[in-house]
Amino acid sequence: MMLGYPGTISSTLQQAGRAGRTNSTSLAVMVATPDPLDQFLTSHPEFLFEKTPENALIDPDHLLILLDHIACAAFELPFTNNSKFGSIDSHKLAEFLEVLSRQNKLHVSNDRYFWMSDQYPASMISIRNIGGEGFQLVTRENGETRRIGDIDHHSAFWMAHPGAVYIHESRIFLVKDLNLDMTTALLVEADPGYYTMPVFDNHFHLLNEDRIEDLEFCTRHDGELRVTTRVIGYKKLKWYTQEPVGSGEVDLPEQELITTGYWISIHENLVEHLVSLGMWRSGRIDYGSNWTRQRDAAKERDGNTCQVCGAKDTSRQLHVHHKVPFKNFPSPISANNLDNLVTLCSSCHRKAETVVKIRSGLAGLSFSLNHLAPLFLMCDTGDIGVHSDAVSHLADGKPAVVLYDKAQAGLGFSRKLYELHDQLISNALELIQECSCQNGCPSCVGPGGEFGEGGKEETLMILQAMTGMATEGIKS
Amino acid sequence: LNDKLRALGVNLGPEHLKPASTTGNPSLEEVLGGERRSTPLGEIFTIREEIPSRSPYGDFLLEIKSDLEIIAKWAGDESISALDPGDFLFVDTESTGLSGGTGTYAFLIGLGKFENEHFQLQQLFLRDPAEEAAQLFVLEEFSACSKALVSFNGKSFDLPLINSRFIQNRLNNPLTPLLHIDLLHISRRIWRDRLPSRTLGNIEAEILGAKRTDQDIPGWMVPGVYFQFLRDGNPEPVKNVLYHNRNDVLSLAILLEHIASILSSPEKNSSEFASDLLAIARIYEEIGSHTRAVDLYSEGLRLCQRDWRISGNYIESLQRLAQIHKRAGEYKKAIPLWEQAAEHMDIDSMIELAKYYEHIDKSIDRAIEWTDACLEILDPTPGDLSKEWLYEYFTKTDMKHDLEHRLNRLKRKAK
Repeated sequence: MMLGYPGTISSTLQQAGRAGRTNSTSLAVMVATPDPLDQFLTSHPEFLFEKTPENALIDPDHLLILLDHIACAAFELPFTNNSKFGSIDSHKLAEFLEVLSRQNKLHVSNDRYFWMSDQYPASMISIRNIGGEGFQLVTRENGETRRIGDIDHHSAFWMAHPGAVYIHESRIFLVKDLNLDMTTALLVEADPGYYTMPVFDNHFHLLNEDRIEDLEFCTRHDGELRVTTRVIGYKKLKWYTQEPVGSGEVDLPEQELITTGYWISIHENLVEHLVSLGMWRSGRIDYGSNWTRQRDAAKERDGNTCQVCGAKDTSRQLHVHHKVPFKNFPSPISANNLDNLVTLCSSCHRKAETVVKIRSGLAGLSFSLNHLAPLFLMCDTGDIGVHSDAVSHLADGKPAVVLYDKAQAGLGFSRKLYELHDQLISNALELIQECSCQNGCPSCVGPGGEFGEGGKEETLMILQAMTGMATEGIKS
Repeated sequence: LNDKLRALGVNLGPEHLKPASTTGNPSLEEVLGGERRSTPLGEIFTIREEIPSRSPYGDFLLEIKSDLEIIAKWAGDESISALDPGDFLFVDTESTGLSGGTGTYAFLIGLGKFENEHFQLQQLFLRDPAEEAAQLFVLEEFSACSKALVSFNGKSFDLPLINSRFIQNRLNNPLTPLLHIDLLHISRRIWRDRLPSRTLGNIEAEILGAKRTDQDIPGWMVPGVYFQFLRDGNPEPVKNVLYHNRNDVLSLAILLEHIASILSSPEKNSSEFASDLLAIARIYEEIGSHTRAVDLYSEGLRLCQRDWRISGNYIESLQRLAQIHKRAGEYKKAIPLWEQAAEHMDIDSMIELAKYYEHIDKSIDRAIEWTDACLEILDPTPGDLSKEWLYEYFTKTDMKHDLEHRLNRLKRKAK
């Protein structure tokens, strides 16, 4: 009996195969959780039974992996000037060997590179993660500090930030402190009844676009990205039901990740179509208890004038707009900070909100794509970062959904997803269509979308257009 | 590539690619006193020394004169006892890493042999790893007449290392067919209960009475010295490594003779140390010389009792000697030994006594007495939660179960 999808087809088959060895008959039962992947699999069991197991991806030419590999190889047998390594030619290899010499790991003599370090390189390399100095996970019991494990540098920020619920060896801990100088995370064993999901503030810079292809109403891209990420807070979600029960704020420095990404940008005609269908009205949002006070304060600060067109209170009704969308904040209090508010007239506000409303569909799209990706790749939802932006730098200001590898220099996930684009999109459509919920749920487009409700319809519209299922009325 | 790697957080080390200045260093010949040698496989730097045989080293003389019979039997090859001093090749290496593996080099191989009334010492030093083939060539040449290797931990470390160097250079290893006496294991056996540390350095200081000067450097620092030399070419610190290696090779020769001499006449050489005698007794027992073993055990135990010094192997020796007598059916000799061990609360010996009284002597009452005594002191509850406690707990629980079983049987017989 498996409670929830084990994460990979291979793991599912392996676990099921443990009962009923040799000639005995056995029955394996998988009970699906509300996770989108589980839900998708219950209506598409053929994925488990007919599909070949997922791609276990490792990119041998990933710079950090390659550097470590070359070090291990150099220990076994000295490289010469003409050596090659995998797909790396001798010229490129020489650059790596030069780096290792500079690190005093190799000694060059007679055109040969001799291993010259008393460390056995393979023992220094972690096969669980790459890059950066890791954090120690420590607990304090009876005044004694005990190290219970490690976490890689990058993951520590989003998995072990203060307030995070961290699971280690099936024990549940609450993170009390993340000490950046000591590179330790202090944990306390406790189960608060919820788990946490970090809230990120992400910025994307395009370093290099490798592939681009125009498709129906959208364009797929892949390339190298610089992602600056700041964990600004977290949401508390109830175990099993994934129901939101609260939030918290976090003050941590930015992290920079140079990685590979796959992104889908949406063409203007589809956006216009969605606007014309009247899907831009904002849904009802609970803006929090201090909203009225903050709204009035913002109007007063802006002299009761629309900050875009200059319209005065007398001529049109004035609105107060969140510059950075409300959903990007961990709590209403932080979203309602005066710096984030601006006074707009209703007409200007509608224009601004059009963007935000489309975003709702984008959020649902990115949520479902993110959760379906592990179906094709041997990875966890958390190995892939996801972001949606109504005005994306990566696509000349067009709306875009970005999926990227959450490891330095990328591991090849997003490159593979670029290739699997069609399949991914059509599976996402099926998932959402088949979900019996009304307005979106944790099993399809995410926990209620960013407006506390909805998102499903908008996401469906986008997907139907992209797959060519419903294109009527869209200008070509 | 550098920029990309740096952006990914790789520490690229110092900015300037140029190594520290290698000029202005004194020459190797000047500092280390050796010479370059040309071989068909390239050039190699060697340091040679001829030390007259019977020169003093510590408390002993540099020579091989004692009977090697017991060492031969211990090593499992009787042909060793027929060897002449000149047949031995003493080997010790200094390597670029202590963990082993194919990327580890023997940058210094120290060799020694007795020849023409002298101890010939030769050290083969790699000024550069590229000279390795020449180093192996000279090693082969030096060992041409040798029949047996003598090393300290060479079976696990030095020889596998040298062997993999020959393989890497696509050369045959000439040392493969040689006999091999690894002095580590036998030294540990003899001095286990006397020396807290049985490293070659410590045996040298404690047993051979040879003190090294501050020129010596600890083994773990050796690789670092060599890497520094490769970078800056300064031979000065290498001198310390040569000194260290030279003394290791000389110690091997002294130690072989010393072990041979205490094994061939233990009473003469080890009378001061009961624990040494008992350890040697066990070696005799293991190679099958039971008569000699009985004498040595008895002498060692007598020394322990005379001096009221209970060495770490005292109880074990009582048990072993009693076991030899028991196997020979000589219970009258075994009983007092078990009784002595029983005084020290040795449960195994108490069980032996219970068995003896039940099955041989047939005095059920005494058997019951000993069984009761065992159960009284046997407490399976662990005193502390050490690593082995679970194992100990189960062993003791099993033992208790057996004893209770025995007691019931004895009580039935008594009725």
